[in-house]
Amino acid sequence: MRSIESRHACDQGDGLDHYTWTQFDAREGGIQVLQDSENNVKVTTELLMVDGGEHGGSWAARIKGEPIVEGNDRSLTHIYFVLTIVLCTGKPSRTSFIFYAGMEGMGGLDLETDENENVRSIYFYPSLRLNEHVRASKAPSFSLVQHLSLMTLPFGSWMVRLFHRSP
Amino acid sequence: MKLLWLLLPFVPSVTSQSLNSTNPSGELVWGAYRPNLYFGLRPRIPQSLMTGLIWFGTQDYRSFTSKSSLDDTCALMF
Repeated sequence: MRSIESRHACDQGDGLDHYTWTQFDAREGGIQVLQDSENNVKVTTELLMVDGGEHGGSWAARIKGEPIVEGNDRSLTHIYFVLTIVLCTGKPSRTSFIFYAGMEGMGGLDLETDENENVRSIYFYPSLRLNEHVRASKAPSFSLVQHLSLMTLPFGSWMVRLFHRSP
Repeated sequence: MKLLWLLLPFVPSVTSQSLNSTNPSGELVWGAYRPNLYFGLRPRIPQSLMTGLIWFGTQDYRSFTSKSSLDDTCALMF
């Protein structure tokens, strides 16, 4: 089973079909569309910004994913048996999203979600030291909202990376 | 079993160059100011908040899927 690459930093090796801001305003925000055929997902990131207040304004981000090729489910496979091979070589769209936030300095973050009953906290590492890594050894359920909190060296949050490995 | 690694490589702390530290309540404080990422928001304030987006397909994570969804996967593949 081949390893799976995550999409985070812009990398031609990710093989995205294309990605661009289709609308953008430096003050109001914009809409970005990222086409990722390898994962059969079209990712849309929307950013809305509002001026005002004492903290440089407010903002909201909405990230959504839609399958590029619809109908990669079992019922379609049954109905269109001839197309099964095509459907199987095409991937179902099962994409997991991580939106992370790192505080570099004083302050904290609170997580609020509409899915409180489904939220699962996996890990809390009070302190992460040099060259340490976090291993997700438990099999998480991708249907849940999950959060992971950890503390790292000062000013290190811009270096965050996600790696997948096979044993 | 597939493992999910979250690795934080460390290098000596980088002293952020001041972008707009004297006027954090001015204009254009927030934005997608992490151009090396597909989607990363931060304010033009050194040593403050950084956000980023990561996504990955889980269709090959058979060990991560539940029994029922694994069955679905098999049904699709065979």
